[in-house]
Amino acid sequence: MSSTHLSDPEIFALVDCNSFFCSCERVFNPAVRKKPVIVLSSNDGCAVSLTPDAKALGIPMGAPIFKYKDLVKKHGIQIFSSNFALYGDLSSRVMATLAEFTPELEIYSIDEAFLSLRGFSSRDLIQYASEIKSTVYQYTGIPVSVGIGPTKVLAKAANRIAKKMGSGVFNLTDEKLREEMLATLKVGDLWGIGSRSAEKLNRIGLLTARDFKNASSRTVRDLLGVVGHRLQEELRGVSCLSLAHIAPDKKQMISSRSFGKPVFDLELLKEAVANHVTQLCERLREQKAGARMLQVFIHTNRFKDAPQYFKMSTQTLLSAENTTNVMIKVAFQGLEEIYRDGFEYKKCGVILNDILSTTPMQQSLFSYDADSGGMSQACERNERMMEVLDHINAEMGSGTLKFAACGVQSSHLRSGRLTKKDPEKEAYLTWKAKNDFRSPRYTTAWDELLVIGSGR
Amino acid sequence: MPFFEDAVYSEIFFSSLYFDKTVFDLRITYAYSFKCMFLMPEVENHLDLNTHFIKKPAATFFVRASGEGMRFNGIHDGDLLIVDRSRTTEHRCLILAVIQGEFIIRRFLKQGMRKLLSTDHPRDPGIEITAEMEFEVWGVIAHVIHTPK
Repeated sequence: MSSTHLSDPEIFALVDCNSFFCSCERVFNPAVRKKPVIVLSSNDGCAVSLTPDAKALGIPMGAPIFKYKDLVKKHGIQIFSSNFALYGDLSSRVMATLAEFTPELEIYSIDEAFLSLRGFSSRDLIQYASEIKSTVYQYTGIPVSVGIGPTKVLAKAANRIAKKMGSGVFNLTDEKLREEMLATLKVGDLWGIGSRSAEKLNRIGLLTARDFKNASSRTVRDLLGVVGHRLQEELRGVSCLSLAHIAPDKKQMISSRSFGKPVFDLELLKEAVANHVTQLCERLREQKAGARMLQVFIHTNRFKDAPQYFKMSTQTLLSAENTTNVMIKVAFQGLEEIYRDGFEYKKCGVILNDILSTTPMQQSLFSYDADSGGMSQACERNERMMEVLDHINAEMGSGTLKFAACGVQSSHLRSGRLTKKDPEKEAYLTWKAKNDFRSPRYTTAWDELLVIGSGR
Repeated sequence: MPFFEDAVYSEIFFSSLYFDKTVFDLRITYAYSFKCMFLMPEVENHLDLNTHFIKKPAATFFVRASGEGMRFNGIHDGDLLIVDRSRTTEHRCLILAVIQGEFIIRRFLKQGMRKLLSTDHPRDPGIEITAEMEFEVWGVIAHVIHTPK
């Protein structure tokens, strides 16, 4: 790689796996490589991943598969239940492989990552992208598409084009090519433009990504606010979104849950978050560990036709924390940053990263009290309180004592098991019970390895 | 990628072991000579099977052999095979391959321009790879671990 200077313009590549869950199933099952594949969610058998040929048969993402039973049979569509152990493991491998190609990698989701390709000349980019694609496939068996651009939004758009064109790689750094190709994308295809925003733009005559890019900034700002303005700038080649520097975590803990009934209020979200934090801190204390990074996320129901919002806040702490009250305060700060009024939230969660053992614990300057020669009094009192709390909860059942922030009446947070039974879902569950579609955990369970050979 | 109800997937996804280079929970025993420690204080590392056998963790997979059909290749029933997808297939490599959608283990041979697959049986001349076979190399078998019964 040529030497990189910070004065070189930033270049982003967005690499994402094609029909990720389906592709994972095909790695150890070559017999289904040429057949349409659908992977279902564990709960209720909705299609969460489809190969292009399955999509072409008219089955939409999120569709309850039970409704398409006949189509499945007719076209020999291969159905699999989610195999998270396998997908998570293969994802790690893809990300580790991508890390070989860039000094800066941002893992965006289980199957997408942004890479910084700063310093590469335009001439080498497509070549390099092809190398990335073929290496990932060789190492892991997962096919990916690579989109390149001077901004994240353009890299995403390029990725979309790469898929449409079938080449698997596409570069939008050239302005003329950009102008030409953005006309082939609808506004709704752009990252950050949901169906509502797309509708708004269509109504004023902005139909393609190119229209949106070339529209007056004032119009866009009036219509879609500062978020829309940023998107437009990104499309114009002005980078507003930088790579989030997520160092590879040694360990991570997550607590999250979907709401039975969607939630609008900040107060209810706070209660849920407080409960998640409490659980996580209990686990931390059990393991004699503390966390230095706390993330809170909230999002709407992706499968519902309603305005979409997904946001995650990240807070770093000076020293590893595991006391519930401190963590709740931090989590609330994060939640308040990301909360937006007017959205129907389906799920919230808390993620703890950068987890360290607390023996010996590194004290931050703020909790260190030079006079007392150790932890500050406040800090020590806190720790003792947590000890008592844990002891009582252990003796009398967890949840006996908890912080008020966790809420007293949390019936609305329980998943809707009190709603009346859905006959179709019941039928699906019976069908599913008879056919367990989950593939073996080829890469994470010793007794589920792929077996090759004669006598079986 | 849809973001759906189960939190489990992200839990497993984020424990990305590959960045750490400690890949699997294959912490078998390591040899440690206490005598040596006193005589040669420079002895630092334990023998680690992970680093010894696995050069490219992201591309290394474990597979189980069944039956005695591959005994001429040196593989017996129940053997654990360490397959490395990052290796280039060279003449005389033992490979895990896919032929018409089925897995198969053979030795890969190059005779000039011809490519052949052999079971290593003394009377096996080898089968030539043709386009109809829809042949694809899945990975090179780097190690065969046999546990004597």
